[in-house]
Amino acid sequence: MRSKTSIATAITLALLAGSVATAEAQSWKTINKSRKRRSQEFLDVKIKYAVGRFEVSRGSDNQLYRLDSRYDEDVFNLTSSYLESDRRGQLVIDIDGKNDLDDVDYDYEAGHLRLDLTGETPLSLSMKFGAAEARLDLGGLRLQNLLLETGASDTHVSFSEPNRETAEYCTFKAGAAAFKVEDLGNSGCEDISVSGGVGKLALDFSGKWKNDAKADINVGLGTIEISVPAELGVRIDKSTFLMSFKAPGFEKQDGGVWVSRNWDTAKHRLTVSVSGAFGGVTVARL
Amino acid sequence: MRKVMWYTALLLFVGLVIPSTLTGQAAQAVDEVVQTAVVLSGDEATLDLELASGRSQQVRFSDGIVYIDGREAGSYQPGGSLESAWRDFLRNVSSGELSEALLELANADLDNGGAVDAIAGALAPYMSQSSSGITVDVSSEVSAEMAAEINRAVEEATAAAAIATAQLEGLEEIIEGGLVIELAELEGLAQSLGRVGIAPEIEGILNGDSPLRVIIEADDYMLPSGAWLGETLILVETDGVIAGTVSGDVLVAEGSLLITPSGMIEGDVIGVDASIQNEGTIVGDLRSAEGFAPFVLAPGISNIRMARRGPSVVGNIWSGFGSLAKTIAMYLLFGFLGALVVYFFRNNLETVSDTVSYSFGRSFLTGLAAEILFLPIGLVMTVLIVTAIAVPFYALAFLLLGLLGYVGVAHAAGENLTRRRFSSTARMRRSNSYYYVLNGIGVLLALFVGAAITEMAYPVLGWAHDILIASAWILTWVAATSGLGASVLSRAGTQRKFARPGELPALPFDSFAEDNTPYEGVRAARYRTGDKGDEI
Repeated sequence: MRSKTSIATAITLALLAGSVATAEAQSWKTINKSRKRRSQEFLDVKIKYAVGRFEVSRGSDNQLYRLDSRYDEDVFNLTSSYLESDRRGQLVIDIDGKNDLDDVDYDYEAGHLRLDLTGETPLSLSMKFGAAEARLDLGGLRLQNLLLETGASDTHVSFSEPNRETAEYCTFKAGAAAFKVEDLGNSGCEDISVSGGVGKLALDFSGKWKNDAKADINVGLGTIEISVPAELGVRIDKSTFLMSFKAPGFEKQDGGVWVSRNWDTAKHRLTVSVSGAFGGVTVARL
Repeated sequence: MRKVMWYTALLLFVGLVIPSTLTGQAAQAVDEVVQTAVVLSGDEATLDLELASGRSQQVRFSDGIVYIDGREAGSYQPGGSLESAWRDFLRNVSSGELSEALLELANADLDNGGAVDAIAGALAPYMSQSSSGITVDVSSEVSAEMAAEINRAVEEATAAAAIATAQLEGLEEIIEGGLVIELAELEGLAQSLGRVGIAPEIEGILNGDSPLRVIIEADDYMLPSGAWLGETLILVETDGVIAGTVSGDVLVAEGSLLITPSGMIEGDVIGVDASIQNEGTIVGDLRSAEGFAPFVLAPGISNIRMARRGPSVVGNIWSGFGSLAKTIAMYLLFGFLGALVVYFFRNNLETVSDTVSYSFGRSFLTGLAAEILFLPIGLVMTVLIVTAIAVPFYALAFLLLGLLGYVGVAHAAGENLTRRRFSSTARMRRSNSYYYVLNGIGVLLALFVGAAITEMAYPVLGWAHDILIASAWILTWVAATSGLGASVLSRAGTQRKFARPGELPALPFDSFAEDNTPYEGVRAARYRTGDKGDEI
């Protein structure tokens, strides 16, 4: 028995050593691109990012955009196109795997993409991540609409400053992810949609509200933490299955509706529809 | 008042100085840098400046050679002082300190003065410009409105300069350097593009049936105002200006394109890793086509890397051998793992094998249910905090059960094969679990071998390969599923509830060596021998 244990230990060590030895060297490539802001009246930004760290924030207003990227050129392709017509620009950035990433021994955290955008040009922002760690500070931009899709990622979105436009819609789609949005009140979004497959959604509606808004929040399996400022009138329409619901300070009405006490007197109002299958919903007043 | 004077001076500059450039050398004066790109990798360090006129200026260090706009301008020692200085310079450019960075580079004490001078000469016209700011700083001297007006005037003058230059050159295309390929029809497009290393997928984004004109790695391409090009135009690693009319599509790959106000594209304009600025007319769509395979053009035209359009005969044979090697590797891997399972867990393995043999349908359905429920159960465990810690163990247990099950199926297959192929005496000589497992894995992988062999003659036996490979994967899935189910039913081989009925206890191999007349249904079970008998 003892000899079998020794053999098993030796085999395990050999397999581990073999797996370490097969790790291949990586060929890092860095790309920095910046484009002057001239007389563009609109910029449509589309980003597809496979894996790695991803950051977006407001940069110098003299630059339409600035892109800093580092990736393994043996594993990934980066293409970025800028098209402009009638003073309307379109920036398309695509970083995707050359092959099936499941077969690659890759240090995913070492690659990154950072994009700085001007705060002077109205923007439409559409982003799609794979397994990424994303930190997006969209404050101070002139955001007209936002679409964000994440796979299995840790995504943190914030609006540190008020949006300089009123956004028609802000849509967030999270797969199996930890997804956090802060200062949604600064986003200026009139129509907010958040959907999550599995995981934890934390939505903070703080910020300077300048319009009424509605939010549709849906999660399959997981927890939803909603924080709303005290001065905001909030109505929650709940449609859940096997989901706990806690909303201290809200008045329950018929039909699965909870309403804040200041609903009739608040300057701005937020109407939230919450739906989900398993997990829990917590609503906190700040 | 001061603002007004400054504004007036700027307008005078725009109105008087810039028009003079239309006829002379001063065109460079307004050739503003609109985009700066820096690429750094192990063997490449490139600065690419895109200019408002649609042209670009590129300096690239690659494999010991300094290229300026694609032409050799000097050499450098990889890892030497010049390359280090150049890389430092590019890092500073990334930070927006272009002028200072170039000054540092020019003043550096470097061996290769010739290359440095060439670089400084190439970049000098742009050094007075900020690498990132706009021409007129909105926040400083003039109002945003004034600045916008001035910038607009500068842009119009720039476009006018490009048109004028084109008109001066006549109505023919102007192509400096590079490779020009004419294709009369689209039919051979993919093959032709493949020959010069362009991804065949490009074919999919071109439409229409007009002839093609492919310009590769030209320093400049210009279609003057009034000129007409009745072809689809493809610019690869080329910067182009179109002031005339193109009747087909225009594809720009890894380059830039300026369509001046007089320019017209009657088809689509497609960019792949490109920068396109349209001030003219595009009848079709302006769109990007990201996500395609990269272009594989080498730095010099003479070094174009040939890309194979599709697998050749030799390629098919090599590919088939590759598949065969993978199958053999899989056999060795599973053989090794199977031998480990036999060595450490033979009794469990035999129970799983008996379970899958005698309760195949039940095992398959159980395995199917386990596969379907695996993910939901894992998700529930993840969400419930208490059980989240057990998720890795749950996944590992599932994996081990699957492995035990697959090896169990191989064991059963090998045992049945032995029972059918050999007489009772010969069968007994082969009646050990190692033999069963190795034979069984061979049976399970046999279809992959057939698929690999037919792959070598894919043009002829492609249909057979497709059928075999599909069958092989289906067989593998059925085996893995039923094996998993048998592992679950037998509780990892610890219970024989669904295994062979009337099972006899395991006895040493030698006890049955001379027994030629056992009850047929029980005999095979008796071959489950003791530790000594099974070891090889």
